[in-house]
Amino acid sequence: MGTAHRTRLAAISAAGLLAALAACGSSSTSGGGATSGAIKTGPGVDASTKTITTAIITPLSGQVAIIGKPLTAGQEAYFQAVNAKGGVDGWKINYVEKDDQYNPQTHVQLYNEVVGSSAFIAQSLGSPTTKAIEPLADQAHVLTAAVAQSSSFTTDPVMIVIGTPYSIDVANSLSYIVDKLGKRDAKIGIIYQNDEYGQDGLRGYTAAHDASHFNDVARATYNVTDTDFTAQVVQMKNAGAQYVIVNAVPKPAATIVGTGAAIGYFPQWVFLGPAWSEYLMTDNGTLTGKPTQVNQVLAKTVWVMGYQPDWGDTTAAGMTPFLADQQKYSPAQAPDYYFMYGYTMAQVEVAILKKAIESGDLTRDGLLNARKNLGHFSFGGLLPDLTYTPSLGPADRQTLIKKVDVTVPAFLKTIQPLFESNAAKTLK
Amino acid sequence: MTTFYQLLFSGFALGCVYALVALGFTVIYRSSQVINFAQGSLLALGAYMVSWFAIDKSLPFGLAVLAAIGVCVLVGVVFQRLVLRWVAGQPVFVIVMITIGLSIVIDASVSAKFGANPRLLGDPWSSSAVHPGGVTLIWAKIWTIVTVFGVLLGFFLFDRYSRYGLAMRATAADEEAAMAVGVPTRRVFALAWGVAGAVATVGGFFLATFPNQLDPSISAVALLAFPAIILGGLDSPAGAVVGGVTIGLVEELTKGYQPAHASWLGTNFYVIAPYVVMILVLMVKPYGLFGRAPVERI
Repeated sequence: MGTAHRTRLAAISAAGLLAALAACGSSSTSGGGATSGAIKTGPGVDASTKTITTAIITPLSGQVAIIGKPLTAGQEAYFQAVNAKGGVDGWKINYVEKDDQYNPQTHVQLYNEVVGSSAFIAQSLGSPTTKAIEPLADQAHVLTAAVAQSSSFTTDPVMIVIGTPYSIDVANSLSYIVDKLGKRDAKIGIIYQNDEYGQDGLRGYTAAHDASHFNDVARATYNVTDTDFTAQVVQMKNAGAQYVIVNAVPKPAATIVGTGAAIGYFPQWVFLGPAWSEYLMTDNGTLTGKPTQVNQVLAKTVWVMGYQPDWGDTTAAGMTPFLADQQKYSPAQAPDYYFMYGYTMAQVEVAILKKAIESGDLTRDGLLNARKNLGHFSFGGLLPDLTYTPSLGPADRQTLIKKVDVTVPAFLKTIQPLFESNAAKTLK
Repeated sequence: MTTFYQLLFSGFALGCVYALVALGFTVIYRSSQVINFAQGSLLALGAYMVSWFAIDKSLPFGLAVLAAIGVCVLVGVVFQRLVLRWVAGQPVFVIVMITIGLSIVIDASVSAKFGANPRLLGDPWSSSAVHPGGVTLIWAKIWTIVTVFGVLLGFFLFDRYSRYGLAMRATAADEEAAMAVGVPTRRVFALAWGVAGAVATVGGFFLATFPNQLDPSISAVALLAFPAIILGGLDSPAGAVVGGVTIGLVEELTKGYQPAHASWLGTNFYVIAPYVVMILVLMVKPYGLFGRAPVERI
């Protein structure tokens, strides 16, 4: 064996050894990650630039963009504020935004496009859309912030869910009518969207009915592409429903109320949070905008379920810094509860990142562990406090009721502070 | 009975809009055997242009509608002359893909210019209505029906009695033979796109009248009109009208009565009911109610 041949053999052996060591190193982290200094990293985490990349998949066009746009603006504002203050323990947050048009198929395509380069999904808006990617996220251990309060997401360890699940919101609002207002004999109906979102609201409606045996007179469904709601509204009118739960998104919700007004039917409409938008009131969503055709009837007949304080209510400790960040990073933003929601979602995401960094693990499993063990987290009153523990479940079970008021920012004023009904206590 | 008449009126008004959308598809299919996937986007563009002229430019509503029709006709004609004429003779698939491209361009342009939030239309009817016998007839819907019938009558008179109407029918029957006898087929194709743009505008703004709002999702209604086109016959304007009205009525009456009388069919049956009707019709008449079977030399 010649010297040259021995040298080549040694080089090949050394290269093989290095490759084996490298393979061992990468197999020690989840999701093809690596160890960088004291911190283990995974997809979407660049240790050299100390950047964490995340993805926002949301409707930025189409009829649900009315929710997606302000909500995304709220997240951007908080991420920008954090980055401006030096990031999360020195790590900057970089986000990419994708428009799914509230279409589950598009949502899955976009998820597959971004997931390889994202540490986590900072926003997946909508129940049917999030449901479509849930198995993929579960399989790949991708932490996903669901902007959807479907109850099933609250028991999935990869999902970040803030706020009260739809089913509990509906159960609480029915308790408000029956127990707090004492309308035991009131005739009540529900119009719900025929998908995961609507089904969750219906679950709460059924649970509340089983608990308090209110007078359930009608149930109607609609499809998100429907353009005419006469049949559903006539069904409610013929049944004599005095209170109607509207488990819808904004455009159908406004069309339902408008159709009711046209046929002389004025029940108390009770909107789930996602049915509401300031843009239903004026053309620019502000008090000074030009009123829409349904402005008056919404103001007279609509309540909205929620869990956020009134816009500008500084008795909530978090309101002042929130308004300051809104003014600084999104000054053109009209008062909007989806903006506030996006901001609070970003707050909890940053808290999870902080926890993961403290644990020295920014891999996918590290982020899931951080979410699972986050513990108590306060939004400073912008949202009820949440507690994440290994035993999963709803982050919150409280609801407040607002009425439409054309004199206050964001057009909503609280008429019933946060409360929790008996039916809500037992809903899972 | 009031409920029945209420649903009948709403279904009829909805069907009239479907008829206009279907007519847009049919006119182009008849002249070029292409399904225009940009028809829904033209509909949204037309409605937004009406809103822009009426609200932003403060034109009287009638003038705003005419101006918007002018814009959409221009878009249709220019697209045909600048793009489609250069791909004449290419497989239909290629042309269909180009119409999808046009759809994407229009949707993106509308969103960029007007945003995603609902817009006011600027129509004069608002929520006003009359209530004969307890049935609510919203003025916007009454005008939908009246205008749609006016437009359809105008189209049929044009198609039947005008020189270019005859040219369109000749081209639809046999393009090569029409060219051989001197029919200006290129102009006929451009005309078809112009007509499609005009009917899309009318359908679009009526779809955005009270109690609906105008937002970009309005373009999705084109998909709802597909069963109407197939039901009536892809190449038949009369079929588009009958198909559109039928589908509107089936959808609304199913929505109104099926949950109470046939709940075992499920909560969403009205969505598939138009397709069930379409399949039943196709089983008896494979080319639709008014469609023509192609004649081929064997």
